[in-house]
Amino acid sequence: MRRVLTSFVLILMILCLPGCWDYRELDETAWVTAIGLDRGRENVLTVTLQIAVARNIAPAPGGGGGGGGEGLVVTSMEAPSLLSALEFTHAWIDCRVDLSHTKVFIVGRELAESDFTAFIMPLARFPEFRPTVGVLVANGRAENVLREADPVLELSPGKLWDQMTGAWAATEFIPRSDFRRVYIDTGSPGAAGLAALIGVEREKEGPPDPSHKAKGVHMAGTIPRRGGQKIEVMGAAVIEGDRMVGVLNGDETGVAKMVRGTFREMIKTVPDPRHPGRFLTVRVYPREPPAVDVRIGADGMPRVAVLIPLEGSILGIQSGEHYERPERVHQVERAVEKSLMTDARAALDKAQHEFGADFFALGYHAKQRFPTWQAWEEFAWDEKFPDAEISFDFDFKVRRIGILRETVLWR
Amino acid sequence: MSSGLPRVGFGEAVALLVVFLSMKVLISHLALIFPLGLSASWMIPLMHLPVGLVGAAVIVWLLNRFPGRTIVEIGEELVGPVVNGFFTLFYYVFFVIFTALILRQFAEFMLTGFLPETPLGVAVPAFAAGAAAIVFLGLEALARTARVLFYLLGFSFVLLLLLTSNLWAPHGIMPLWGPGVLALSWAAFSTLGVGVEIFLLALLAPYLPRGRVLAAGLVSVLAAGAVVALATLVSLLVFTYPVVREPVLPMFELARAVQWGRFFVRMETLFLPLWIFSALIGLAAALYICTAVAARALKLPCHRPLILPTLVLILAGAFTPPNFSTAVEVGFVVTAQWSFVPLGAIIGVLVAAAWLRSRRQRRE
Repeated sequence: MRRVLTSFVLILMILCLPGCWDYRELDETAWVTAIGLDRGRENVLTVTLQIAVARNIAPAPGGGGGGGGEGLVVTSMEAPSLLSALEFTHAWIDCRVDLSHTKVFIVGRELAESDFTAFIMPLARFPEFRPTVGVLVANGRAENVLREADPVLELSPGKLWDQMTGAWAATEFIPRSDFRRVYIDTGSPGAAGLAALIGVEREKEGPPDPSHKAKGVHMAGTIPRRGGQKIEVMGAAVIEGDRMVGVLNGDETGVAKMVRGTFREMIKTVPDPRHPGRFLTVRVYPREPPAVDVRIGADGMPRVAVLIPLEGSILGIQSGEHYERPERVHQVERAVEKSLMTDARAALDKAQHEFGADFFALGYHAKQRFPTWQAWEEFAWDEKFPDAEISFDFDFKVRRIGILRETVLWR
Repeated sequence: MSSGLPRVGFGEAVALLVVFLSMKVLISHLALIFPLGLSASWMIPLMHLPVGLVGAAVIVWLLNRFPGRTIVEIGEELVGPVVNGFFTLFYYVFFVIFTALILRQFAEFMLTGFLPETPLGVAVPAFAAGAAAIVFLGLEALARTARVLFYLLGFSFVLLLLLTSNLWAPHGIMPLWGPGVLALSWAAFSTLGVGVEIFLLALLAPYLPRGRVLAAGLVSVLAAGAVVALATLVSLLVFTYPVVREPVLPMFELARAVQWGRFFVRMETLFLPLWIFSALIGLAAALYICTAVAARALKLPCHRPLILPTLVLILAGAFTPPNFSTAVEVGFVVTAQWSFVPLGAIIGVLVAAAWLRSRRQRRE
């Protein structure tokens, strides 16, 4: 009898332990999928929340799409801080606002350029906010981006953001910019942060000019396109110290990713070395992690040599020239290396002379040369970086030639 | 429950000691190690190891000279009941404070990580009740619980570290020597108290298989040192210095950082048993030390009557720090930084007395 009683009391205690304090009904919760932060109009900040309407994006019984109706609610407010805005929302949103499923955090460009860290970094302390959240900078106002961010190919706004930020692995022009990475880069000496750039589709078409332009010269908000969803991600914002110091286009972002070791693949179109006006298209992958050699010269200045080993396959030869032949493959390799070197020079020039910010994170390699943290801090990498002697070298090897052995010339 | 003297196997003792010695990595211990060791913080546990091994060997040497007795009875024989009374009082007070601070930190962890709206007044007694239930069932139950859960805890710990492997950045531990060799050595010396939990061995010894006490002590210290060093190293690799200084619960932040594609995220709930079971075993071991020391000093045949009064003191201690950060800072100072001085001094006095006595006996 005593054992039964003891067991009963213990089970009762276990049932009581969870309590009701943290109990929350799913349908009484407003799941914020994206947060936008801009310089305020009537207060310090304009905070925009994109909230998923769960019942409208859940699959209908028997399969198919959502339950119909709007899948998203976007609401903006003027508030002194982000977290106070969350409380503020309860004045007009009838559910408890929850950030635990937030996928992206978007900062308007104006705010990012003046005060990036002061408003964003305190979120690291907030338990609901996850380090895996994507951090993006809007090429314009974040509020506009969120108002236009309506999924076209997806039902779920969460998946939309996952897919868009996850595209870093499929392309050169989107950096990997989760909160943890940006936070570490902005908090550590020796690197500048890279946040993906997001924008709304451009309103007006550019002037007619059908000459060749590499896709990577564009960035979010300037991509020459029509149709599809209204928002686009391309390029990167460079965060140095407590603010954004500039933006990188797609190609420059790609070079930064190659040096950082986060590059996965890209499709590169390069001029045909023998046929002006014709182009070669190749798919490029990393062959090995980049080799970064940092030395400190007798004058105390850093000398950095970066070797980026790449490989890839030929996808297209407009001219029909037989570059796929073993003895001529090297011509494609040199053409790709030359094109990448052009991108690298532009990116390096921006890093050293325009921004004065090490968005390649070369400082992380440099600090291995110092025995102690004091020696590393005294060296002041961030100050020496603009005058450092930095060289890039690409080593590209063609591995495959697609599914054609040769191109028969058109008659 | 068995009748007569409890029996604790070698594996059970090692499991219990390893969990007890290394549970600190699950709360805020590492957060206060990083500011001392900077990017070389992972070396500090390795620097503790030789001292820990020698300390364990010294305690075992003392215990082996008085088979079948715990440190309390040994002290009484070597320095007399009055002096030993002060020693025992110190053990009791120290481990009550130790348990209270650890209890508060685990309860705060639950509130910070999982149950933000639950009152502290529920979380603290819940952990305390669990620990008290284990201690009530006795040393054998405690040791066997530790042994049974040891593999689950070990697996969870290794899995957690491995799941962060895609986030490891080698530059996180650079510059290699952090604050420099001298400062690093001082950091290691000033935190020698991290091993005071080995004191549990001085109460377990009579119940361990004869001749295995030394092995149990050395294996436990080695394993616990490896656990703490690995946890420190992986935290540095994931968050890198100086950002690693920020999280108040570095291991919990590791669990939150896990990200393998879209689906393998939010893994911290999966690792909740690691925290809960480690906390229960560790708190139960600490409570057992308090009650067993008091029972032996008062010459009571059983420690059970002392569980409730000791628990009241521990609960009072757990609620004393006005906030989490005070609990963390005070907990570090009390348990990790300088606790080895008085405890080391007491053990030193007992060892010296034992040595002098054996020398005298040899002369006679």
